[in-house]
Amino acid sequence: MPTLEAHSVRKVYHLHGVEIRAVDDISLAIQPGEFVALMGPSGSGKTTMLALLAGLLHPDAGEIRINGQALHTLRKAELAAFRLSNIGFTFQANNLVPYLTVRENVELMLRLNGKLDRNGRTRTQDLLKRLDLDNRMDNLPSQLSGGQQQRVAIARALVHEPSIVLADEPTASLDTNRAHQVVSTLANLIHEQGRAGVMVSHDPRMCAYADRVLHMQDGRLVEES
Amino acid sequence: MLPFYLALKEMLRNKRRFAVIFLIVAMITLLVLFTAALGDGLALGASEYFDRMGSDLIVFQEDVDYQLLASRLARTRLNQLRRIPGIEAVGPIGVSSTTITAINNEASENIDVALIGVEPSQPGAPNVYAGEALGDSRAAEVVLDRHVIARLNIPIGAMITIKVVQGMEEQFYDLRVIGYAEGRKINYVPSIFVPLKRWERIRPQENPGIDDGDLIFNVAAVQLDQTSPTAVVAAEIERSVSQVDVTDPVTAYTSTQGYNDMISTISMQQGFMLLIVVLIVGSFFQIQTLQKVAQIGMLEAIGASSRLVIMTLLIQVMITMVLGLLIGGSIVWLMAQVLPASVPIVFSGSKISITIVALFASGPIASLVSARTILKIEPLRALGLGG
Repeated sequence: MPTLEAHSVRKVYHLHGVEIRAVDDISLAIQPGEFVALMGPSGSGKTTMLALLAGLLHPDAGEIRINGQALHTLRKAELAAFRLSNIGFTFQANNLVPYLTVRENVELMLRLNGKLDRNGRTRTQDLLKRLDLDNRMDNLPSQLSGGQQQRVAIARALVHEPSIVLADEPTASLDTNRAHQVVSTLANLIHEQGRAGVMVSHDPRMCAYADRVLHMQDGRLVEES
Repeated sequence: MLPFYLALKEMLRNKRRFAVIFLIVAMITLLVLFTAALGDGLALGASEYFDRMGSDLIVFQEDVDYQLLASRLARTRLNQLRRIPGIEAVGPIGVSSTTITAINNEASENIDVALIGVEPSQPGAPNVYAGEALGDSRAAEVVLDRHVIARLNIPIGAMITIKVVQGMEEQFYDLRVIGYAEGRKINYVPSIFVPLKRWERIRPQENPGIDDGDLIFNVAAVQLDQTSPTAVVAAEIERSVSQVDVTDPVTAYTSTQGYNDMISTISMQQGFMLLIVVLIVGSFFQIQTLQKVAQIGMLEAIGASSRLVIMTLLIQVMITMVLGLLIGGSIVWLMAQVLPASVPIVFSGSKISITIVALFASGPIASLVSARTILKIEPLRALGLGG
């Protein structure tokens, strides 16, 4: 069974009386251990699609299922709880809680899930070590570079062992070397841990790490490679 | 526990910022509480004696608009009052002004006081908390109220000298201090109490030495035996005693010239200040919450519940308000101890409570309003992300 399924999903915005189809009749399925890149120019609807997949937005038509659970059947609080246990999220900015250290930021997902036990702590340490952040565990986000912050966000997205990881432009503020490092690490961890992954990016160089690349334009999937 | 964890972590990791916030709340608390206490202190200056007298009714001369110093009653009225059913006791009260000039024959700071003549053990006579109450109705003895002691620190047993003007001359009288009473300000000055017959001799008067044999005083304090309703007894007094007006102690002091103007001015000032301060504190926390829009959006996006976000904000604001109020309240209390006794600071339970509750509520309410606004924004928009 696919981890994530989207069927004929549509999201329409109305701006000054004009209908904008941000996501227009998109269907897709992502299997466990599959890392998919969602590419496209700015305004193509990538982030809206990601928000729909995460249950942060409700589609105007169609349905999205994660592990067989239709998101539209869940109420707001149920959706938040579902997201908490099933989805890992990284954003292009404002990823971390500024007053928590690296370790505390990662452990926050475990605290939210009620899973902060010895195993959880060990998993946090292992992940941070794997992401080359073991010497930064007690630093605050403001003491880290942009790349380091993205890697902390990746650790936080994976630590609670979600079914799917959604990454919104994880390389947006990084130089090329750092961008490659971050995306390759994310792809490797997704593959190793058998999770499904969706990465939104407008940078074609990051496609190399994805198993599948979906191209979006004007809210529609125009190409798959 | 997670809301406490997040709230405390942020406060501990941003000690300087939160120290400034505590200080701001403390200073605002100080300002409001001090103004409230000062206003109450000023108001008490007019009401304290009547308010704490414990009498049910005050009898004035007719048609003097309850003006204490304009009222004159003679002993005959006293006897008539005592015969009315429902009255347990009647105490004549004479009030005049004097100045304390010396303690044990050594010149002291001159302070103006109200010289109050009362009949020992009768309504109007003060309860003493140290020393002895007035006993002998002619003795040259005096009971001082707490405000006098706070300013001059006169020991029991000491001799004070008071100065009064009788005729065209200043006269000095020695009185032995026998006891201390609680604060009994009247007409905004502290009070000293002497037996009425002594008061009659030493009070300021235009023609000293003329004694027509009838004791004159200003008002009579009436204590009821509670067998009849107060209104019934009051009506009976006005019916059976000629040329008198009867009222309750509250009306007696609220009728003091300028009292109502002063109280309304103070109340308006306190009300406006509280309103302004509540708006400032509210806006302050509203802005502080709105600054966290991205952080709250991120927490919501990763699956944190709205309840967690709101609880975290509330706990933080409440800790800030409690600490700020405690610091501010403590500073006001310390100031009240250190400031000269002439500065009238009074902490009235109700006003302090209203002030503290209003201040305490303003922070959480403002934060809740802001949080509600933020939580309505889609998390990705809160994070500043677009499609």
